[in-house]
Amino acid sequence: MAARYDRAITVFSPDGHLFQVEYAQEAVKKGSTAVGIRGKDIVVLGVEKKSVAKLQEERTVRKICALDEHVCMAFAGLTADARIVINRARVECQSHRLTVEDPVTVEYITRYIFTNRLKYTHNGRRPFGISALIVGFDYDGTPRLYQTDPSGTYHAWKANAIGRSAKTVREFLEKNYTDEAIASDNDAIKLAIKALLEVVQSGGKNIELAVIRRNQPLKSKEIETLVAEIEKEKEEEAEKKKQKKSS
Amino acid sequence: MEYLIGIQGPDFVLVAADNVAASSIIQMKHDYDKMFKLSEKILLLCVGEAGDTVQFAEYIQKNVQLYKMRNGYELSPAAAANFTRKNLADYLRSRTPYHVNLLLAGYDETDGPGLYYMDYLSALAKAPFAAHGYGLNKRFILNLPSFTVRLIDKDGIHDMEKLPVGPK
Repeated sequence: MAARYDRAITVFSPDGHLFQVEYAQEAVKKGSTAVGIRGKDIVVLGVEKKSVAKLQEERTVRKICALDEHVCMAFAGLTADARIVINRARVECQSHRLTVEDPVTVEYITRYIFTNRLKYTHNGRRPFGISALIVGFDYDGTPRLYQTDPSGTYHAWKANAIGRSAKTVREFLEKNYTDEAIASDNDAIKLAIKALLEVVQSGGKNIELAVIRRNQPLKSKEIETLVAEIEKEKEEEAEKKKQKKSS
Repeated sequence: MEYLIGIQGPDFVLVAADNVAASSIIQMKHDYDKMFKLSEKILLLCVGEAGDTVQFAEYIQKNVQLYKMRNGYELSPAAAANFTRKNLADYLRSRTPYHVNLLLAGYDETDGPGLYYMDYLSALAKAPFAAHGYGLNKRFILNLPSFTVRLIDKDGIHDMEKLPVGPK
């Protein structure tokens, strides 16, 4: 049945599905995992780095992109589609600054990306095969995290994950995202790493992390020391549990 | 009667611009800043037709920032100067030319300090010192009351003390 209703975005199926959009969401599920966490004074983005071929230059594979000095995004899905979205968003960030002399709010740029995408789903062109996590600070200092998906909708989140194994990561976050867990900047970063370590196979080497702090531009984070700390904490907890059992 | 001046030193560029925004014979503002920060180490000083100055300078400013966002590093002063020149030249032969005179000052990691002179006909020249307008104070019928002064070196742009030049 699906075969007759999935050729074009302009066709609904009898049970109300837009198959092209759903297939686009499948493309997203194949992408490498990305997680975003909104802390109190910090927003964190972490992505799973796909293993790079031996001869490939690692630093040319960037999945976290700055859109402006106070906003950045990570995506899951078709990299080529993402490039177009990122490019348009960057131009819009500067255009907004030119016309209204203010930096964009995170919501504005998310809405712009979503409206752009909607034009594709409505005009009979194929939807973008990416989900994006957009994080940043508004100029009043509020941290924000938004997620967009191929259907063109967007929502604000406290913490979210996209891509492969997003469900597992999201469940981990639902259990572990508490006000204490994000009390300090470092705690928020550790939470992001822990969430990714749930699904990333080879540990810290395959995680790329970026943070934005209020009034500071995007920074890539050195995660080796933090991963080592997390491993130590895990061991200590396991030790405690063993002692409890034995006593 | 606007005035811009720039001097290139061994490892810095010093620039100054007057602070008057005038409308025919009335001084509308006496604290107007004519310098536009294109990036951490590049300043664009812009005088000329009212409106054209801000419009053109802000357009260049945002495009330089866009380059930084897209590529992860900033345009060099030489590249920024040539980009500005190309834009001014393209608009020159359109129905809406910009009438602006510019000085572009910047510090490059590899090439050191640089000062570029550009006029409204889009002539670009790299020079060790350059100016637009009459800067005279003793023998000129008008006195410009104050000047904003800035210094660019390897550490970025620094504000210097405002110069109140006047008859002593």
